[in-house]
Amino acid sequence: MAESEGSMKPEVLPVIDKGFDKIYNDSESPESGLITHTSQFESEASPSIYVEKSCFLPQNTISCPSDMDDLGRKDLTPLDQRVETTIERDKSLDQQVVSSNHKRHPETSKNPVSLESLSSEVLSDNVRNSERNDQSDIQVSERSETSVNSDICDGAKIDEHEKQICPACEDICLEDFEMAELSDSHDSTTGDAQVVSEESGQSKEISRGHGGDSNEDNDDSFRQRSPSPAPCVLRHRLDPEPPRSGDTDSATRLEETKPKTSKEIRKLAEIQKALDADPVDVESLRRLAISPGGLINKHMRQRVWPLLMNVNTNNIPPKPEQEEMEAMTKTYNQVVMDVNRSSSRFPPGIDDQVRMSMKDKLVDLIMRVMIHHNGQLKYYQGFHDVCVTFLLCMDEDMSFAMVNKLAIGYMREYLDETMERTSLLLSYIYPLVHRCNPELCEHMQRNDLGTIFALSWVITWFSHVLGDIRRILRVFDFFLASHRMMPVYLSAAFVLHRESDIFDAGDEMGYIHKCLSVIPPDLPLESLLERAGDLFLQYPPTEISQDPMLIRLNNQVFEHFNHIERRNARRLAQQQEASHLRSRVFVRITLWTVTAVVGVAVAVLYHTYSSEQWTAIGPWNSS
Amino acid sequence: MTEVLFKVIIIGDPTVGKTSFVQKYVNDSFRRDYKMTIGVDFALKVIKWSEKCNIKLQLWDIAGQERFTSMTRVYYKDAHACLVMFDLTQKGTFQNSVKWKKDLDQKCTLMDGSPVPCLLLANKCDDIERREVTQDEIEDMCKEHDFLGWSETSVKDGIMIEESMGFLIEEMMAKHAELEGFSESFQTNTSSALKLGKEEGGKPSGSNCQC
Repeated sequence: MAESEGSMKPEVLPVIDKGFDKIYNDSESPESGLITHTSQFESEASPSIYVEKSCFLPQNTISCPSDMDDLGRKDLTPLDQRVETTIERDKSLDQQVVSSNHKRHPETSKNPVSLESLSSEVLSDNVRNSERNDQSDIQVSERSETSVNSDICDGAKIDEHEKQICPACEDICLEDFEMAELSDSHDSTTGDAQVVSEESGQSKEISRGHGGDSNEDNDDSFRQRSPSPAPCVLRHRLDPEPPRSGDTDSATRLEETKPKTSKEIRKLAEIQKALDADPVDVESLRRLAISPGGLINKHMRQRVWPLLMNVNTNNIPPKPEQEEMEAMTKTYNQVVMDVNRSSSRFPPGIDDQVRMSMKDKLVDLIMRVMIHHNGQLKYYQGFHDVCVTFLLCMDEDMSFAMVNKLAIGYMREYLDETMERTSLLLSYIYPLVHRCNPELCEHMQRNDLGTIFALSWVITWFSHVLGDIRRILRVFDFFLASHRMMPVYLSAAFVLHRESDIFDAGDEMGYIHKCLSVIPPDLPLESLLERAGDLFLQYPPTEISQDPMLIRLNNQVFEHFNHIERRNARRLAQQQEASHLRSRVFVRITLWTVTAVVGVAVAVLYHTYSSEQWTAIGPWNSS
Repeated sequence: MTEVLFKVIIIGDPTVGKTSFVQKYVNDSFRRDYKMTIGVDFALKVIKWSEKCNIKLQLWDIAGQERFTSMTRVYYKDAHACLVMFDLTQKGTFQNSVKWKKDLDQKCTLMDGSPVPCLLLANKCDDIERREVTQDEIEDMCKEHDFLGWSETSVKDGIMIEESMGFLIEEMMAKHAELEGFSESFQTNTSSALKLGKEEGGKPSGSNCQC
């Protein structure tokens, strides 16, 4: 998106997206397909209208060929209805909260360092959000939706949470931080909506007129939602935040929020349109999530991600008790340890206390998923990277619903007891690279590169390596809307992109590994996503799975893991035998001891009895 | 000018400080918030050992989580030396270093069948208050399990990093000379760095792995 910004001129607008957009439908099975081509043309005469042309292609390719689509929609309808029905009710609630926040803001914004004021900043940003909502139809129901979610989860639970965890830290998400930062330099007029009104005059036509009139009356609702600040209460034994490193990776630094381009605004409108459709137009949402720029902002992601994953946002099970979490000692300790080390995943501008609170929630979230599946899923290092991405984007319950669904769907293999199935998946990279660039593949294989360079890419959906949260969220948009194998295709695209660097690394496995594990900051992510999508269309998983190279690699994986299994079994058998031997010796010794004791006892008894008789008889005899 | 290539692997439980150690040694930098290693990381350091000899040191920083070991064992292959690291403030990591050592010996030996030289590093010695392992315990374990030696280190304060690695390199150089004699056919006096490097990484002084 950034590339095209420069060339934007008010009079003549270039055609965006080069005509074609490739769509890869998500489906649980590789066969149930995939391909929808649409084209997005921008009319020069009416820049704000985003015309979709699907007539280039046969009609039957436009909709999902399998019945997954219907099924998906059917399931999604209740959610949609729910959103629609609750939205009105919630708007009023939202306004109430907004109004009180708005009032509160001027007092607290002067001291952005303290936790309380940060949260106020955040809340005040919500005001701005909502003001924007007021101005622009595009975002009208985003906040409402957030409230809808939490409202539906359990109205009472919110209060409960607020008691347990620092209330000020509730619902603090990434973009709020961005805005909190911005609020220092810009005044309350800054933001998307302002840009909306500046860049496209039409948005004023669709603006709504409830500005500040309801802002004064409802201080109570604010007090209810955000009681007086309390110290951060952490449920888990997390280490205190380490002092910040001076040389924090610049890639992770939050950039200034750029004004939205007209392209983004149009896209937001399109997303909104798909959301407003009855039933929700999930296929369009999928297409929008995949196309350049993804879902643009947090609020859209909060609404669209659950729809893409067909996540049920009703009846989200409550958080398990602390004791229950700690009972899974090994996993729990591991999770706490990993979360302690996750600081670099949070935006650098974030307040330490807020970060601590979020880490606390992160432990909760991971353990909640693990407990929900009764320990059948095995936590792996890197899963927390996935979880934190959701937590930075949505509230705890929604994050749980999403991660839970991912854990049993897209990420099931990674959560296995062993890495066998993950290794099998990673093997797909080689045949893919081979088909596009046989020399490169040969070079990699000759140097025994293996697949471990892509391990963290795939199992964390690139969140471990990409650094910048915006890029991570963009990749998540893409993956959530795509086939479950897509991370592997993106890995192949990454490798192909680094072709010259890999050749330059020479015949040295270490160098090649190092070259691939360092992600260049100027990575053309959008074009790589497009490449991954192309690869998927050109060489779908069903085709690659028949590739002789894959079969050979998979056999090696099987052999490797069988070898490990056999060795473990042998070791176990030896241990058992040793313990068996020990127990046999123990039994024998026990038996001997018992025999000896019984023998001695009998002898003593006999002796006693006979001597008693003798003594009894003795005197009698003697007398 | 000859160039010798050594491959050193670093193993041990998670969070003992393996990545920090490598970064400190190679880049002389220390950060508190290193991301965990998923899979394997690689680092390279070239050392001017003498007027006539450069050493290219490959450091393979191997992830500590148990579930990754099935995939990372491949990287034990051809190791010339090994660092087993534990955290002085976590007794469990000290006990597990025996497992790591045994695992290594089971998978790998040098070409002549001798075990891969292995140094035991007791990291975080700066944190005296939280220390859980005594020097006697380390000494005993070191002797019992045939470690080459042990050292307390503090990556944070930069204590005994260079010294430990220097010691290990000397040991590898000694072994290297010994193995050169052991395998006459590979005895080299060539100045071709690449050729020698390849040989070094390959059969002559590398290790035999069954992994």
